[in-house]
Amino acid sequence: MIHFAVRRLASMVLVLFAVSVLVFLIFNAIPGGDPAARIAGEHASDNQIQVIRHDWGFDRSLPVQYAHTMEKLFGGRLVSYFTAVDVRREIWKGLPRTLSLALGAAMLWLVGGVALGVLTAVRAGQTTDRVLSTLAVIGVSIPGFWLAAVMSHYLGFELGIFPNAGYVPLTDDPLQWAWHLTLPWLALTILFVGVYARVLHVAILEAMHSDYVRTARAKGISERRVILRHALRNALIPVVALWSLDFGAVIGGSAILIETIFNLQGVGQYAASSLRQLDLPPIMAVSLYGAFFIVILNAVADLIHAALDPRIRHQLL
Amino acid sequence: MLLVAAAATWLLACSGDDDDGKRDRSIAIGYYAPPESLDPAMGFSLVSGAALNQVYLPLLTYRRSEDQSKGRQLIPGLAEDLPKLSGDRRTYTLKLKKGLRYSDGTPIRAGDFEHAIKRVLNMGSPAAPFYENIAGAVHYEARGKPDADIAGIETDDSTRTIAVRLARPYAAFDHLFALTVATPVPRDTPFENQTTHPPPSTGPFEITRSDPSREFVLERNPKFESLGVDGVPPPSVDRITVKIIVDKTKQAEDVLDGKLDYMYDSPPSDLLPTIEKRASDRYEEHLLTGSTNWLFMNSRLPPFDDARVRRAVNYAVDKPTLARIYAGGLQEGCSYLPPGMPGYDEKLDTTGCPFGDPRKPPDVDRARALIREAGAEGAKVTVWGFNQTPQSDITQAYTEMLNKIGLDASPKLVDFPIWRETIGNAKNRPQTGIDAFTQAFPHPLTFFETVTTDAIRPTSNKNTSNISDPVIDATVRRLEGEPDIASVTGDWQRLNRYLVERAYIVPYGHRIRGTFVSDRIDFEKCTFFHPIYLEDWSRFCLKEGEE
Amino acid sequence: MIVAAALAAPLWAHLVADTTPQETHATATVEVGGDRVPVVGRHGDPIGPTWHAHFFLGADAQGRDVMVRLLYGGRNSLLIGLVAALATVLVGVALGLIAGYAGGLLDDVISGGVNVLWAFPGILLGVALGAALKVNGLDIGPVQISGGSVVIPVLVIAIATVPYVARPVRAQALSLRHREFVFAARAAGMRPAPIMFRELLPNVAPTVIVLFPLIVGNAIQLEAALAFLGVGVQPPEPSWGTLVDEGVHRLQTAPALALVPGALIALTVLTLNLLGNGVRRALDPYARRHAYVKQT
Repeated sequence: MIHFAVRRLASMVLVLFAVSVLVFLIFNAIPGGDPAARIAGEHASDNQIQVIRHDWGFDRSLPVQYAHTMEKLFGGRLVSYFTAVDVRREIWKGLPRTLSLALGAAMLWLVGGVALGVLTAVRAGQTTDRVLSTLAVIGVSIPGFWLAAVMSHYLGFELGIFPNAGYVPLTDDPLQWAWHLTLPWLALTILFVGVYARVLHVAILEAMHSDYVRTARAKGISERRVILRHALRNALIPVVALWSLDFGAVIGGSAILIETIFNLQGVGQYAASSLRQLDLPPIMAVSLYGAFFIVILNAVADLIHAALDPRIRHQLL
Repeated sequence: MLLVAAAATWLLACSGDDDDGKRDRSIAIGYYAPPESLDPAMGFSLVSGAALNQVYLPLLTYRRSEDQSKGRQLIPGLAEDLPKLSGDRRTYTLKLKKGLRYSDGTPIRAGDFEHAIKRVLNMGSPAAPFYENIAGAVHYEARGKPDADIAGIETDDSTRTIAVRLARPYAAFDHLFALTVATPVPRDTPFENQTTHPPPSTGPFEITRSDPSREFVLERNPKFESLGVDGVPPPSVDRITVKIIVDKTKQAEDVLDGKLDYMYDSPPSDLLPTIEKRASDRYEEHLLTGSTNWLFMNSRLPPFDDARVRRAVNYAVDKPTLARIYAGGLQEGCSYLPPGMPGYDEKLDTTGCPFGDPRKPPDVDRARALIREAGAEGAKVTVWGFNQTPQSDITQAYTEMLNKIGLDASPKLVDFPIWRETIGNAKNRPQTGIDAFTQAFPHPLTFFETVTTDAIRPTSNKNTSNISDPVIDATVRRLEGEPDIASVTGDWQRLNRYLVERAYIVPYGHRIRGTFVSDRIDFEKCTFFHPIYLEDWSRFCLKEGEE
Repeated sequence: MIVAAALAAPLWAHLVADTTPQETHATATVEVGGDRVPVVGRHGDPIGPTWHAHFFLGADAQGRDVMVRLLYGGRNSLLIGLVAALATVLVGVALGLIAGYAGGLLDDVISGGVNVLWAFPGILLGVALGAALKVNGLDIGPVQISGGSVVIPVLVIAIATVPYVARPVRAQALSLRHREFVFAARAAGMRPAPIMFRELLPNVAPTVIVLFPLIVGNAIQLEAALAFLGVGVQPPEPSWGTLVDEGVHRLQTAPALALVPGALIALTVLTLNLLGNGVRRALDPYARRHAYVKQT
């Protein structure tokens, strides 16, 4: 187990390193602009640009620049090309917002999916199965950003039921915090809940056919207890594994779109604007942060699988 | 019963008492882009300017009048009087008022002015080039040592005098005392971008909280009235929260609903019908004097190195269409200098335009003929623009106009924050695209300096058309030394006409800015549109009962 | 399965219908027949649906015909999705087979590369590549692609999606490597390349075929997301993503502009997913896999 953990850790670090190099190369090797001129601003003189080029180290070779950037990133002195704000600080400030969004939604769709899955498993039959898989597929097919934009406009602005944008920190006003996040949470949940319900449903049904459960039934335990106690527990394992993968994907991916639409000003939105402005320092930091989450959550998912009861080894992905 | 009545009356009487300023009249303003810096030395764009103008009142300022010509006049701010100019027109002398204090209570001293200029030069502010004309400034920059001395600035804290000696006479230098970058700052302000904790203020407001990419807060400066600046009234609200909301549609919707009190910049055109219907009593349009939009044509790159092609484009651009895309946010025009600027000629902007009245449809046939004559048919052209409404639509419409006359044009849109540097970088080979300019100060030099040969640069090029015309260069150089603007207005007029006739660029109009406020604000009494400061935030006041 | 096939049919017709040579650009103040109403009003409000040949669904802010843009946009989106998916599959299968079969250092290198791409959050990678490439395009040796070309989004999407194919293929190749027929082929003196092509590929094929519709669906969604953020298909080229982007600002006045393309994306991806499920059920009725690919 330890051996496994150490190896995983090593490979994680390697992957993160590779991600950072990849990002650095993308934005330096692709010609697009002179960062020194950008920092210098509109009316800059040639003299100033030279000074800035030296100060920031743009006149050094790429590997040296890379080393400097990484050093500044971990030393907490990495500063954006544009706004002179410390990158790590910006991410730190945006993190609660992104986590509020991602975690909240992930909880909702997990709980909702499990509830739905259990319910329909209890009443197993052709129709519920069909309905669930249809719901699941529909959810996955809808473009998340479109759904979010439409909901924001109609439920937020037109009907005025929910706020159509903005974020209120949890510490300021918990009620408003949740209220402002309701629409974004809903948007994400709709996308995923169907799949989770279906996955759990299938997993429960499978578990029901296993020897373990048959033994329990033979012992005379009630059907409901069989489902809830025995089948469900084993069925949850692959669901949670899947959940950690999706959670990572949301933090690194969908969060960007949803945050932009609802102006939550979290890390995702920060990533999107830095990328479009070709602002390398935040891009490096955000990519690492995103990759970090995904890698960690992948490892968690794998760990869960590895710890699985060997009898239920079906990979539900 | 009587006691209750007495208590009630007493309470009512006291509620009208406000000399403690303890009331919390707050408004929220929306920005579509983060200010590039809230440090007065570094913030030098319209976006940051709107906030910085409320916080940093410089030695001189502009008369607070909504009238075009009155609002352009310089009046003393922190200084006692307007500067005295020496006989050789190179030295400006001012005296600081007595007993001034910053918002944190520390005294304002004459030497603080030099410190502010040092920061501008040392930190590479976008405004630095304006001050490089001060004697010893370039030498100071080159040395790179923050605490070195600038030879041309002499200050004396005890007599409160400030003397600035220029290397060469410069007609508009007195305006440079009125820019926020030249506001005195305490001498211990470090030589680093202070955008997250700006230095203490000398204006109606101070910045109390700053998270520049998300939001920042301005609060009433308790020391402002003690500065005794005649003609700049104290603010009517206590707190302004500025939120960065990139989506202008969302901003407009929030102003409609009252969630936001004012949006900086006009609401998007497609929401105008709704605004007219629901909120016409709190929306008004103003012509932006001091601003011109044009299309640049890089005369160093084909096909625009041929004057016939440039003239063809001037004939072909359909200005009424562009105005329509701006949906009322643009007044068609033909002049490079904007209305209100000395040297502006209304005739040139309308019926006297050498390429046809801009309010009428274009002469496409003539344009096509010129293109054919120049042999430029099928020439590949990239049209540069940026991703905002309506500029992305303008870029695409302009591209179509070029295609219509026989060129092979395609648009390229980048994000707004990097657009300027992208078209200013010669490596990108920017052939043509949209451009616009708003005066840094109300003198024609600010417009004409960017079209001289000296202004051409390989990066951060402001002379996007790479105009290099000896007549323009010589005239600008001569007029730089003429501080009496009234005597040379005719020269500026002629220069303006010359530029337009040579078809170096295609000016297509001047922006009209919409002021849109929420229901909470008393529109009639408290909106004030200044020709230079635009919508003055310190005039905003809440309606009775909203406080 | 039958349901899936029936739903797919209109999409192919859609593709065919796009070949009508209509201009996707029109300048703003074109007068429209009937009532001589300007296409774009004084306040920049474009006309709504006319339900006639011209401007069937109305115009957008630049006076362009929305219906025409929808059709051309659909063509772009579908083509990009298809081509990107094909590229993904080609590269993914190749990499997966090589890595799984060869093992050792080659496997480590390829897997490492694939895992790095996998670790990179999908959209983030797409936006990063898209943003970097859109301004000046790609200029490596003989390969020169301009920034506005439709090839760029195809490239970006393919790169971001390769791991979704490469990893399962590699896993299968790994397990197949030790089977008897492979030993037999090697004993018979076959070189690695033909082994992979003739022995492994047919066994891997069912997995890939099942994945393919899902990959196409994912590509279409990714294209839309990238275009929405401004780093995918570049204007004035329409695609469903750019249309949604342009339309969300106009939900107030002209909801069709955003609602229709979004719904079309959902429908298309839905059909593809159903197709994928159907194919899977047909090929392997005992597999209880529930697969989906979702990067956005």
